Amino acid sequence: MSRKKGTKEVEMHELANVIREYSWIPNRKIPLLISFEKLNRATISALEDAKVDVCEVMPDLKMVYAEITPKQSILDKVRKIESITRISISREVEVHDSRQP
Amino acid sequence: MIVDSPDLPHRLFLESMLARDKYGATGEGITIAVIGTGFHAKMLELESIVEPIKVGHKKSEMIVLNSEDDSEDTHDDLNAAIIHTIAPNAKLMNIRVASNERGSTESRVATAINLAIRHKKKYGTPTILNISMGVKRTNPLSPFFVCDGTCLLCEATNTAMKAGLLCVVSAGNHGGTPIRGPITCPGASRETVTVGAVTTEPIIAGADKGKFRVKVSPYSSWGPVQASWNKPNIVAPGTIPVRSRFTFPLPEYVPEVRLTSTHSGTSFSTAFVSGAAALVMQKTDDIDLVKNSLYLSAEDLGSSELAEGNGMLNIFEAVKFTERRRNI
Repeated sequence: MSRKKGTKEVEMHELANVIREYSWIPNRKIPLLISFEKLNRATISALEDAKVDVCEVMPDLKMVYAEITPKQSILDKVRKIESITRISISREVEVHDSRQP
Repeated sequence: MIVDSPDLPHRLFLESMLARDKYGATGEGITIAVIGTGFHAKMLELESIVEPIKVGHKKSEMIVLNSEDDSEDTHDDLNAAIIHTIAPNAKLMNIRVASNERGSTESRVATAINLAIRHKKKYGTPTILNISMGVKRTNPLSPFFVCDGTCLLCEATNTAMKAGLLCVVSAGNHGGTPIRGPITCPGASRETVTVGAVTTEPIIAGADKGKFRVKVSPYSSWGPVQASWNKPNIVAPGTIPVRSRFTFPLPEYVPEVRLTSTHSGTSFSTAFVSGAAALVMQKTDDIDLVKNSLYLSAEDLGSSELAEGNGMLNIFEAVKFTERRRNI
């Protein structure tokens, strides 16, 4: 996966804003898609050590679907994981269909 | 482009029959993974051509459709029917990640793409991914498009293309103007075949009075994505008249009335292109040649490139182009 200069930092900054927005809601989890330069057991355990819930591992895409509690401390730990290349919120996808009776 | 009949889907079905008769193109040996709301193979009588999904760990298996008891018409029922009509011998793979009402999430679509790549590596199929959904990424404060084709979902389809899977993706139903192009992701990805929709309008005056003009549907999303590449790549019919399975509960003395509805969307255009790609891929496994065949044989509609890309899909010409290139 190509590494775009500065993209990760921008995404981390955006994520920090989202976390600030949602931190007051109890039990709120933020769904994330995280991509890696190298995806192996070590990177997964690094995520788990940072208290990230790893829900789905996609080895062929070198991606992980994970959920985090909106806390700045967790985000700071995630930022330190070197092999992460991109991180973004897993947003809703719409079906491209409109029916007219 | 001016046509005699407003029934564009019928025109493409005839083109596919012509390709079948002249070049033997039936989609034989090709498997298309339909990622979306899932289709009812039993109801559509497509059971014999549905390929079971053999790989996938526990969580991935959850997204595979197994809902014959679900009586609701899904959006992919129509997609599967279109693909099967164009490429009758192509196999279908049913991957459900969404419902009609609620849509899905990026992570589920990415999981489905990963599942398809793994299956391809292990068993050699599927060869085509039909994705008729997407995420609209626009900045409310800016008229310009935000994703430049490098978001994680776009990257996922790029990875699939590198693994030998042709990704056919809908452009989105957001319309557009030259400065605002809300092509949804992963349609914004550079490598995918992104499909917009066309419809017809009657000509009421002049020499062609009584005929119909083919034009880009008002809901079909416009490009560009970046200065260096344009989307959509191709357009196909997006408005399909459908007779519904459900009837009104009318009194006995009233003759039975069946509901008819029009299904519109770039999703259905995607199904036409996936079917056509299956016919072309039967002749060659070179993905670049498949893309070129579809693009270079498309018919110019005379509207902006940002809306129609290379033009309207011509199935017969695409198969003919591939056959000729193969024989050179």
